[in-house]
Amino acid sequence: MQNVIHTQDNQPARDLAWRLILIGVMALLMCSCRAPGQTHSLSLLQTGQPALKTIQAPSEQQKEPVVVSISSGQDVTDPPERVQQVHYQQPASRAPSGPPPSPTLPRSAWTGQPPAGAQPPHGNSGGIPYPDDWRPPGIPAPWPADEYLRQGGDREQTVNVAKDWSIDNLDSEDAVVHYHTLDGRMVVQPTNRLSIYAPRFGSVRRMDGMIQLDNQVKLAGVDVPTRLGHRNSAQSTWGMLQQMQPQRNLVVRSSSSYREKTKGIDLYNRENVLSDMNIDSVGKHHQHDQQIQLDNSEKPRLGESVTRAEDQVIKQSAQVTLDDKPASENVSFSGLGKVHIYHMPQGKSRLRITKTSSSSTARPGDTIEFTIHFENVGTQVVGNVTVVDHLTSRLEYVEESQQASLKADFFIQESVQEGTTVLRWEIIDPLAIGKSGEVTFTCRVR
Amino acid sequence: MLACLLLWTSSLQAQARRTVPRLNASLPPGAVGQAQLSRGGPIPGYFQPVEIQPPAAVKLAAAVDGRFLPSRPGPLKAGMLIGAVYRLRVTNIPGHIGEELFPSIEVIDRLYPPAGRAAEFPIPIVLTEKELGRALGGTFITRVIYLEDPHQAFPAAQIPGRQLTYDVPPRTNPLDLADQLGRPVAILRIGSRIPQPDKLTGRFLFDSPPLRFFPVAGEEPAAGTEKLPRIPRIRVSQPLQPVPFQR
Repeated sequence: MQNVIHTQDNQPARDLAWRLILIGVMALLMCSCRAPGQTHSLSLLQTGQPALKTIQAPSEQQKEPVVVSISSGQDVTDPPERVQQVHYQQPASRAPSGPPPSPTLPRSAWTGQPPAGAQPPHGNSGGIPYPDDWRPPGIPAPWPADEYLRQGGDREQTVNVAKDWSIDNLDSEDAVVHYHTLDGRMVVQPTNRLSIYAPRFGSVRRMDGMIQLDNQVKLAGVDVPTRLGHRNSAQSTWGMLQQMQPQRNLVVRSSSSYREKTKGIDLYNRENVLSDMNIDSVGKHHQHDQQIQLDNSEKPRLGESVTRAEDQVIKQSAQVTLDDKPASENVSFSGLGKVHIYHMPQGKSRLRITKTSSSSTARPGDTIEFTIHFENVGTQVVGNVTVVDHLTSRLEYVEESQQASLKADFFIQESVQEGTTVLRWEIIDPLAIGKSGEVTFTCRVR
Repeated sequence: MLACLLLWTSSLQAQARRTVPRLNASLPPGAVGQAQLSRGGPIPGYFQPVEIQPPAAVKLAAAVDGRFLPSRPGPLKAGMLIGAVYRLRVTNIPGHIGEELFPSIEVIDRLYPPAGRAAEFPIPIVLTEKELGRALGGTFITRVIYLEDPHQAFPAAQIPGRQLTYDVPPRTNPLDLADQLGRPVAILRIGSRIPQPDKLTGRFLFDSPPLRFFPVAGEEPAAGTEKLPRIPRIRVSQPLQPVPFQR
């Protein structure tokens, strides 16, 4: 007797058990999708961030409304009779020990996931509960980039100085120093990059007047007569024309005849191509086979041909023949000497370049003094030292404010299209070992 | 199919580039700011300093606790919550003495200045006489103030008392252009609507969200505010007469 229990539809009981287990697992998964203490909010469109983010529910202490003074506004700890309870926003809170949330940041801030083990910021003096100097974890200062004015360094493409002293890829904000070494090399060295907090604002304005509203009302009135056009559309004579389908039949017949013509053209082309290719390929293969046979088996015959060629060369170069030296040997020796004989002087060329500013913050209209200091820290003299600074469009050079500690020629080049200015100092004397110099200029923040 | 795919990807790129939600500035005041609040981070609860710079002789008054403070000459610098809407009263407008305007300001993003120096770098909102005059003439002005992208900065010096402004035609969302030029941070709306203060709902004053005042440069910090006794406007010698309802 068989010990297998059958169900009503003759299925084994273990199949039914598997189904029940599967249903139970699915029910457990569905119930576990929303855990207490967590809320989900849709993340707004942001590069590189998940569309769904999890924010920890505020604790009991943080659920209290923000208490803010409304009279003097200087202190948040005013007496109770002078404060107002505000219910506008709940601070974005989080568990102190848990991982920091991933706030949606401006596009300039997002550089990837925060590093592992990043600690949440401390303090509570800025946005609640973020401190004043908060910035996203894992992102170096200064942040955000759109509030800072950058100057110095080599921003995008690498600056290149040509032999005619023209400079390529000198982007806005770039500042470089280029010089010649004793071995004739041109070295381009960027300065450090400065960041000055100087936000500037603009506005976009739209003006909606009453005249515009009148126009909108009139347009609504024009829409009403378009209903008459609906009657014309009811006269659907075009629909009857569409029922005439012999045109489709004609198209089909013409396409079949066209296929016959194309076949003929294809055959004609193929015959021509095959004939040409056969001739060419046979000729090439034939020559190729001859070369292989010469390289492998007919070396004596190859030797004869080579010697004949050398004889011809010797006959053509009468001077070489008088010296009893083959022409090929003379040519090869001279070429090798030009390539490999190279005299390298001893020592290295290096400059230490530092760019500084008189202030780290500025408002429109303020003036900032920049200083570019360069020092020869190498072991040989460098020459033709040239300092080039491409001011950003937010900086305006103050006339006759430049100074150079060494004897130098100063040039200004205005870029009309970009609205930028290029400052250039050409140090006249070579810069000896250990010697330094600096150039100073003043800019007004636009 | 390929064209649709390209359009879709370009649309995604444009959306990912946006710094503000894809909303229209014509929405009711507060809608854009509330959408920004949903982004979380250090935005909720932060008092972003804003400086309203009116023309000379124009007086400003902020609304606190359901009523306007006494008017005073500008500029007015105050910390405003992001997402809230603040109502101002503008009086003593040159050429329109006796008339008033009630613009609203909605802060939709914040700045991250060096620690302890937030008050030195407020969001400037410049009011011009021309704008105020046009608003009194019935024009509704929507102005989106944005933080300029340094790499797209307009290569000209900023004139004191003026703000670089681009005009867009009607039915155009100024937030779109502001988002291309930089990062929108505030929305100013000026109209000639006659106020109808409703103390029950507080709708006109947007419930008077809290302000944090900063001392203006060169001015002594204000002393603690004293509460004065409430003075009734109607004298006892002139008792109120019930006014019958009229239909």
